[in-house]
Amino acid sequence: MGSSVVARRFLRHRSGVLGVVALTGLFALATVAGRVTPAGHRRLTTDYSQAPSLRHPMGTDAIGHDLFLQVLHGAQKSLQVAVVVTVLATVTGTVLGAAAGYRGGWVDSVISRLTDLVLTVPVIVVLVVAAARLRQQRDSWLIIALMISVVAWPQIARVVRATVLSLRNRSFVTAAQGLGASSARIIFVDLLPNAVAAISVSATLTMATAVLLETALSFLGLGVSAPDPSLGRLVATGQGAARTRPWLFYFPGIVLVSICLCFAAIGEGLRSALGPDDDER
Amino acid sequence: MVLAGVCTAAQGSTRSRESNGLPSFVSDIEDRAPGGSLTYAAEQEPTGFNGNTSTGATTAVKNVTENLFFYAMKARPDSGVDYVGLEREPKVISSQPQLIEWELRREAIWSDGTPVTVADVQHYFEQVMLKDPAQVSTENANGYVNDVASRVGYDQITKFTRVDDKTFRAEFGPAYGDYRSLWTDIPQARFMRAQRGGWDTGLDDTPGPSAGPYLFKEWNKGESLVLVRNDQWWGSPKPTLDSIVFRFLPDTASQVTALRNNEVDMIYPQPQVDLVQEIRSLPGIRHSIGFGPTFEHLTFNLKHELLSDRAVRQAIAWGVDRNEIVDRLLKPFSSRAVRVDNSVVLVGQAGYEAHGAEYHSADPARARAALDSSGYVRGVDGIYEKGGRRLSLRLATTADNQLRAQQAELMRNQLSRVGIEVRIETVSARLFFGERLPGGDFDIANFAWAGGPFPISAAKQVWQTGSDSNYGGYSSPAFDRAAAEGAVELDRTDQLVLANAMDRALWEDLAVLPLYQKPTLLAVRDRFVNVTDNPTNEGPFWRAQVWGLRKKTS
Amino acid sequence: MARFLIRRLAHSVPVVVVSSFLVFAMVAAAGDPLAELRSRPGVAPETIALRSEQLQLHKPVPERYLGWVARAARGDLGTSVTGEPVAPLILRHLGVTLRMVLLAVPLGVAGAVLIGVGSALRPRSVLDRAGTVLSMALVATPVFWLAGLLKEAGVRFNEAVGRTVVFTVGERSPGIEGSWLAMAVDRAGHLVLPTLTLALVAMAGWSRFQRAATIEVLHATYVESARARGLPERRVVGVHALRNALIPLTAVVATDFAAILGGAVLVEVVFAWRGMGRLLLDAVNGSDVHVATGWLVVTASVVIVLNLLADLVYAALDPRIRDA
Repeated sequence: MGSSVVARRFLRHRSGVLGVVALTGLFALATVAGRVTPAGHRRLTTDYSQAPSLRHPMGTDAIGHDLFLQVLHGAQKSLQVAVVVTVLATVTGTVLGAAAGYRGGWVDSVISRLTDLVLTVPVIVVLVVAAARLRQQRDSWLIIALMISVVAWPQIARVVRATVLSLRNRSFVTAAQGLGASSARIIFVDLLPNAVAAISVSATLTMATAVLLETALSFLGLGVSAPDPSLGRLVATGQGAARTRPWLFYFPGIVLVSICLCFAAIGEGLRSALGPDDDER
Repeated sequence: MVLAGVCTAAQGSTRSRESNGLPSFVSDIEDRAPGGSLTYAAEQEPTGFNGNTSTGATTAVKNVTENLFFYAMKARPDSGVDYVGLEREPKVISSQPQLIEWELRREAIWSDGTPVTVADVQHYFEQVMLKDPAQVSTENANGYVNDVASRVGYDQITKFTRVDDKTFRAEFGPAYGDYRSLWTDIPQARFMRAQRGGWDTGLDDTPGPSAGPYLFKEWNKGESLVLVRNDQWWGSPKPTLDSIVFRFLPDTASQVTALRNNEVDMIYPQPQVDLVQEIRSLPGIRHSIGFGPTFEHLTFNLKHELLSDRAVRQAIAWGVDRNEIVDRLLKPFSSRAVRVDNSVVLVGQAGYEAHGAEYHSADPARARAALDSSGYVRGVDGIYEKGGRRLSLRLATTADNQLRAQQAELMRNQLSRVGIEVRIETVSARLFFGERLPGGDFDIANFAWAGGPFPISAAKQVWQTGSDSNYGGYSSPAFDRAAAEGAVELDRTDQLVLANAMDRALWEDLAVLPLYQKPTLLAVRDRFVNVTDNPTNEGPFWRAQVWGLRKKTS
Repeated sequence: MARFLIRRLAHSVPVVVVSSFLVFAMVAAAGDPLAELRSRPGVAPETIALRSEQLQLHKPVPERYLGWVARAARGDLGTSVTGEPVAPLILRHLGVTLRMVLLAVPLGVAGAVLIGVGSALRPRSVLDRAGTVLSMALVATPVFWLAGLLKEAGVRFNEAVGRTVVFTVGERSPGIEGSWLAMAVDRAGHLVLPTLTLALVAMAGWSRFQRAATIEVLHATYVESARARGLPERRVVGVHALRNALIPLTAVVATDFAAILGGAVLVEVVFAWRGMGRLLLDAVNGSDVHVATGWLVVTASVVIVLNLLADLVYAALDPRIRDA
């Protein structure tokens, strides 16, 4: 399918477009804010625990942080984590899943066992156990991202493996094999493009999951370290303020949910843009 | 309605015991209606009932056994001492060698009817000090047998003599100045002897008979622990509550919701602005904020190249605005919050003296002057440097503590204004106390030390040359001298003089910068009266015998 | 079929073994279980040495692990750092978690089927759009935030009614006595919020899946041919399509069990249920190797059994996968 066709189909999907616009806007805003007021999210003003006002659109916390800047910076951090996770997990999952699905035999066996290994253990276990030890280093967000990737790739691998398996016996594959093409070429040139739909949808889901997992870790006290809060940590620390300083509770939560909804919407848009036409099964 | 948590009345002599044996701290209680059951949200579940084992030396266990076992003495909220289990103060028979006599309360009996006797105390002592030559090893030079958390004081008793069923004497060598702190949390000897697990595990499931106002009834592991009123109790005033239920709820947010939802009646969480405000808004709930002898501070790693320079420590002391920290973080929920200027004797304790006068207020100018005079030069980014080395220090503190995270950020901000760069590190408590501190892997550490009625022992543990808890590597002949003298000083007043001398040494060398006393928060349903906090080691359960239902005035 | 089962089972054993070693090693390396003890001034060094000896902290990790394996093979999962035997501890906590999960899952499935099938039958209707928005929002919401909202709602409900009907902490009120009915009502009051939270979270993902699966079935050739034969729509859907539409969901539910358990962990923390979640957190924070590894072995086994069931269903559906 040509890319212009895909683009056109995607643009028809309103919520997907909205998702892209919102996320790009958020990222742009965060970057601009980062340049205009560098380390602004760290700055302590003398207005503490103030409700939203013109000067502080989202209010301030107990020691004078401007919540709006913190939310922007935190969203950027969470997105950073999500992007790293998605890239790593998608690459790993696609390669391993395709290899398993195409080669079969012992390759499939080993990779499937590896997938099982990670999927068997509830994600939270791996993260809790690893996070407890590792997270107090600087650049903890990178470490958190790496850990989440480790538990995220199997989902993608499974999807890719299933797709490759179902396409393996198709005529175009047999034809390529007959022409003497190498496995790698067949996988990358012939099979994977057909799996793009499934992979992209999984990738967007992975992004949302990564953000939520980092949030869960923050809630348990194990996420990105304190002085540089991620959005998840802001949500977690705002937990107790729901009745007394509601802006600390609702704003980070709403922004977080919105980000995840954007990912989900983009996923839906991709699904309808890239998915097979109804007569192609 | 807010109750004052700290007795602001005079210290010392006017609060001593009256002749009929009643500690006078119970004179301020309200009338009670009989009956009632109070449910307390306990953050941690006890692992057993023996408070002097390695797993049992926790507040979870203390809260339960506070009203079960025999106590010769208990600390008051103002860090004074009440001899609740004795006829009178322990008598000094001679000071050279130190020979002290204790006389147990005549009326003291266990809930099975048998009297509390010297046999109980002696068995406890023997178990703590039990040795076996076969167990001697490199780590266990004395060949101790039992899993005992602390032998401090007991290991200096050279002779234990029974005079009669209720009286005994102990001889100390070397002299032990804080002898008054001994003989607390003691279970019945007969019960312990009959338990198959002995000292280590014998009290894991049940505490045996009680010598306190309450009795152990049942323990549903993971869920709740129930105490009921001990009608045999020999003390005064008699308890009126039917039962006290401990519910194990580790999450603070759940505790508050549970309080609101009538699922628990009393909570004792770490105070925080939102928490206090939310509790204030709940109808029918009373709360009090207390300031105990536990204080937040900064410990400097004196072996660190930059921190070994006294000028740098001075700059930090002038740079950190302790008043701003108190104003921003603590004043919002208690106007009584204050800065503390003494690391040995604390605000509210008898003998408190404020030291370090020149550091009482932040002074950025003097901070910069100190650095200038030590050869530091301000770099382009505003941070001082000397010999190519930037004045950049790590500030380590425990994770998951909102108050600490906030004060760390405040301090970073304040110190950056005087040209010191601070990198904040939050470490899990286990790693912080288990590895970072003992290993000396820190620059500036922010955590809390607990004071109490026996400041000399506590301070000696922390700052004496070569002591295990001396994480900063502090060594001062002046401090050691005062500490050594104080350890063998038997007179309380003279002890306080030496304690203050120890603190002056600390300030002279700026080994530690005390910040403020940690607040405690106690919230209880208004239906109950006389539930107050004791921010010392004793905790909020210190006099559960006076708790009760509010008497309805018709 | 039996050969398939045995093969899958045989493959699962190394998985459990490897993951148990990983968890053991990570927790053992993660920290010192005696850290808190060391932090208290005045604690006798002999005591620390004694406990260290008991916990075998001086031995290298592989040696400790092998010792654990040897004992575990005999059925002894060791003792926790506080001296409590691990096996009964885990079983007790597992019971608590299962009580929540076994109620939440059917609830979630019921909701997912209702919304998923309903949406599929009337695509782009109001029901479909509302269902989509709700599911997507639920999937995007952090579990504990949702739990917090539900708790708030529960408390306000109680305040409106005037008595505590819905509880926010624990499984039951301590010390409650009375008739069997009174105790059942009390338990029910405690079950409402946590089960609802978990069910909503599970339902969100499943309803999306169910919708997609139902649409696919509705367009399948055998359904089209049934329509072409002139069968009434109701019969087409009710008899032919629906049954087949529900099967994939069963497999998904089984496979998702690990994820549900993860959700249950968070829900338990918020509602203070002493289940597997709390157990794991405490074990990790306390560097309690035996509890953490025992936890993993039990959970992994449960998940594997369920995955096996899921694979059976998949295999029954698609012979190509079975023979791969």
